[in-house]
Amino acid sequence: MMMLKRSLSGLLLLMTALGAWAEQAAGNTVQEVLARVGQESVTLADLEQAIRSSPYATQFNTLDEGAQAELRGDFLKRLVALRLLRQEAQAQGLEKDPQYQKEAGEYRIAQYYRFYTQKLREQLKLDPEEEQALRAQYAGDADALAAARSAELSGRYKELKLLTIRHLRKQLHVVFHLDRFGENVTPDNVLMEGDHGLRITYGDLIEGADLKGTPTKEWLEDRLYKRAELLLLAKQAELEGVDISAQMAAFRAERLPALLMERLEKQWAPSDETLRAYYDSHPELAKVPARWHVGQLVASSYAQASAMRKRILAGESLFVLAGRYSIDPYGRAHNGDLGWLKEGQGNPAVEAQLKKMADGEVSPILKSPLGYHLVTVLERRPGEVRPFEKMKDRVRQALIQEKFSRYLAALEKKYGVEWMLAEAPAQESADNE
Amino acid sequence: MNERLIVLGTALMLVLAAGCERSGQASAPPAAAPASETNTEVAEPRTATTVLPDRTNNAWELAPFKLRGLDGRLHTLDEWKGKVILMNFWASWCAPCQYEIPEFVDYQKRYGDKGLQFIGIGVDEQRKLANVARSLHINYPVLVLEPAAARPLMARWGNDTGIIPYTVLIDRDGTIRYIHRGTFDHDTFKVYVEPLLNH
Repeated sequence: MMMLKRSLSGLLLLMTALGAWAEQAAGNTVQEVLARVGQESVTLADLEQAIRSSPYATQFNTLDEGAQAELRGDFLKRLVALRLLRQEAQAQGLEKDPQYQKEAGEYRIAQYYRFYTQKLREQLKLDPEEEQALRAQYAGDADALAAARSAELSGRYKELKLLTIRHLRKQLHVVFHLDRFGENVTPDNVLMEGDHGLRITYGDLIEGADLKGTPTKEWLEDRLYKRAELLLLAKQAELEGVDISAQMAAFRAERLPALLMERLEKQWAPSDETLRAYYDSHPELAKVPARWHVGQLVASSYAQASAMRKRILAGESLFVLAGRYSIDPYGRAHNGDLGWLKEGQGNPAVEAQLKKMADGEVSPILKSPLGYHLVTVLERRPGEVRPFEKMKDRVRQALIQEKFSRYLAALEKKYGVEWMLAEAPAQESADNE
Repeated sequence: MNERLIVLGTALMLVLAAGCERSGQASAPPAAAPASETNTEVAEPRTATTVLPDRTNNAWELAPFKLRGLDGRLHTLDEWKGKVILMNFWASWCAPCQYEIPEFVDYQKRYGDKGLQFIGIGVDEQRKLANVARSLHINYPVLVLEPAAARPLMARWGNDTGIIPYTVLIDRDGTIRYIHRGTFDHDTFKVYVEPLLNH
């Protein structure tokens, strides 16, 4: 293995190296380190997991090797960026930030709750006879069997959960203060309390709710009982010593960089004025080029082009002739239909001609290194400059990308990134013949 | 390059998500009713769940098909006559198919010498099938069934709604022992397949 030290922005060999490395991946240890980022590292296992849990996990397997390597490279760079952001978030003490603390607290409760309800579910099992009857009824249809089984169990689960909550209310000495609802209720008013610091205030209930006016008593009660259920089951899991440290570590690993990003975005694009200024200084963002739907026939000689032009003017179709005679293979395969051409993309002489022709007209013979062209315009869309109001999201994205790119380069310098990929010969993407 | 991260990711997500949506084509059919008892002496042609249109329960009595494999050769199912065949219909866009394939690879490795033979029938583009076969290290033959031609063949094997994944278990003598719609689980393998491998 050869160590490759390079900067995050100069990864020329990364893609090919990843392609070849992926070939060996199945046999190699998944703990293989692909990059060191400050004190942390990105391993092969991290990368595989990131791909497998992404929305394109299924599609990934269908890609050619070259495309897979490219996607892997993209994922690896993202993982490196995440680690850089995380270390910076930590250095800035974002973990102590009240917003983070609150979110982590809620996440902790949710994890405990999830664990406990899962435990309740696992206690429920069908009798062997019931199970057998269902199997016989739905033999061969796994989905239907699973659905029938869970329908059967979900009723029992509700009962079991209710019984458990009743039991926990007694055990943890839970008291509700429904009488405190009313006009004079304040966010600090405690509406439920119990042992081990169990507590729900009015403020807890109305926080984050989309309230129009004063909430009704029914709404508050519903919310109160739901919150009480969450806290009770979570507390019981906590008292039982359930270990959720892995989940909390995962939360921290994901949430810290995201929180830092949110802050940065606010800082980089604090207002519409900032976006407006960026829009004004980047006119290319708002420019939509003119487009033409073009038909074309390419002949090998001036004489042939001239003969074709005569036939077209006499009523024959340029497209039919292009399908038969065009020397441009794409054009011949598509009967001369070139699709939509954007201003600035094509041959300048052809574009100049397209601009001055009416739709349906046949051009004079245009010479290029490829041959002698006859073109026609089927349809056209004029270019435009999009107004700021319609461009805001795009402007915001461009601004943030620009800033983020520089920011990341700075973090890379600050913490250090070392790429550790086996150097591999470039491979042709092996299509499967 | 870094600034491309977000854009590239988003674009890919859109492209790929659009691809996955096609899996919705294969919706679960209602459970097929078991064949009604008749007063004839002849046993109804049926599997555990499905009555096959050809009124036979033996794979070798069904109209044979010939498909090109990823190895480039033409194959017929009877090449594997005498083995316990698990014929699995799948497609590259189908996520559940991709979940179960690594299990199949493992079964093939463990039970291949006891006569187990998986045959993948890929209802998809050859290139994509080959990529998935490479990515998931498929160790059994995969035959290519052009999606446009898939329906009649699948219907002949009891799959008239074209659900995927769909797996047919054929015993050594050709008897169709079991047909499974949806993802094949280990439990099902133990109940239906293992007993056939033990002797």
